[in-house]
Amino acid sequence: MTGIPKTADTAEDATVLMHRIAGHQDRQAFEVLFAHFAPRVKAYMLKLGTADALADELAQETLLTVWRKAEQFDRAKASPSTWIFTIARNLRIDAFRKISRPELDPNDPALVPDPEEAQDDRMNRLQRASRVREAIKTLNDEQAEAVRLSFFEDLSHSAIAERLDLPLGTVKSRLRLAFARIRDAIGEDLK
Amino acid sequence: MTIHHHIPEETLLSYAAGDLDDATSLVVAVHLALCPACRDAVDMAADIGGAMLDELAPVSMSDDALAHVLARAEMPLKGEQPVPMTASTAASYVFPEPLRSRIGGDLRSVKWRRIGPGVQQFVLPCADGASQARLLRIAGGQGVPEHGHTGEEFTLVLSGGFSDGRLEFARGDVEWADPDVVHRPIAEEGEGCVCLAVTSAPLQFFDIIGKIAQRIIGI
Repeated sequence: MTGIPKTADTAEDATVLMHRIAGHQDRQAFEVLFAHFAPRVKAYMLKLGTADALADELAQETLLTVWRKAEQFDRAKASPSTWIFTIARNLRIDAFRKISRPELDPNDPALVPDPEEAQDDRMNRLQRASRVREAIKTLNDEQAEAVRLSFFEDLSHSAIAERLDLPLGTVKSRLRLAFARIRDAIGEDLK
Repeated sequence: MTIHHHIPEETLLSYAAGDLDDATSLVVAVHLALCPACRDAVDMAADIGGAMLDELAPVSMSDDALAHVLARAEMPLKGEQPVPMTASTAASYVFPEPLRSRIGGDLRSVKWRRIGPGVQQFVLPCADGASQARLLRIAGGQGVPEHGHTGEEFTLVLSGGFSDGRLEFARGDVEWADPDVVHRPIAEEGEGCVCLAVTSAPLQFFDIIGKIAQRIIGI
């Protein structure tokens, strides 16, 4: 082992940091992770219209959750950025609702498990996340805008349609095409 | 169990982005518990969120943010450990999470209310007033009166099955309907059907019985 990564700029380094936090409650690793993600989570909250003080608070809460739930982070299931994004998203929703966001429970005995072959074939999630990242860049402007409005403006399909002055069906088909394009890109020679 | 009717992909994307209202999120999450394929799709959509988070220009945190978080990290957590379910009760759950927690139990604990011949409902508590979620229990061969939609409707089968005249829906399947769809779902003979229905706007009934039921019970 060669010490702690100095930044969390790459998914690989962020993953090493996550494992140090999970396995050793490594504060130094956490500080590096915090320096990368807290300011981005705060930016995410601000983009979604959260006031500055609350955005700061929610970013702190997100990173605190990362610390506390680090042992649940499973490299096989998500890249660190994806995992932290989902924590931030849920905390933001829960901050504004009385009932917490409906999420499946991976330990629920009633959950239908993944088929065995899917578990064996499952590509490394870091690899998938990096393919998704590349695929986003290949979306056309219309698709990219619809995706951006979904993730950063908290808009429903009909609200996006209103914002862009488009029929609802057009918004849905843009999102569907964006989704298909990304899925095709990650599907290449891996399935 | 093979799922034949899924949640539309653009809805899965909005679920991953965090845009759906509470009731619609609930029906998506319950479908995900029963459908590995859609689960995989939502994981991929979350990767989009992760990639976009990384691309954001960082905004300075308050000066003492890290110190605050580290101080709180020291404090032990209380009472957040879920109680594991035993395997013997497991096999018999009709409602997957997060539906059981929302109701506070499984099928047996639902307080049904009769709304018509062979049809009972239970309206679920929701966190916002956007869409409405209800459980429907329909006796074998019975149906909901023919109706159209002013918004979207998702109907997820939890037990038994129904037919809309063209297609069959079984446990885990979702029928999605928008304002273009007029249908009259009929529960399968025998067992009937229990489903979770989420509507974003009131249904439109065409016959007088449906209209009266709507006035009285607010379906």
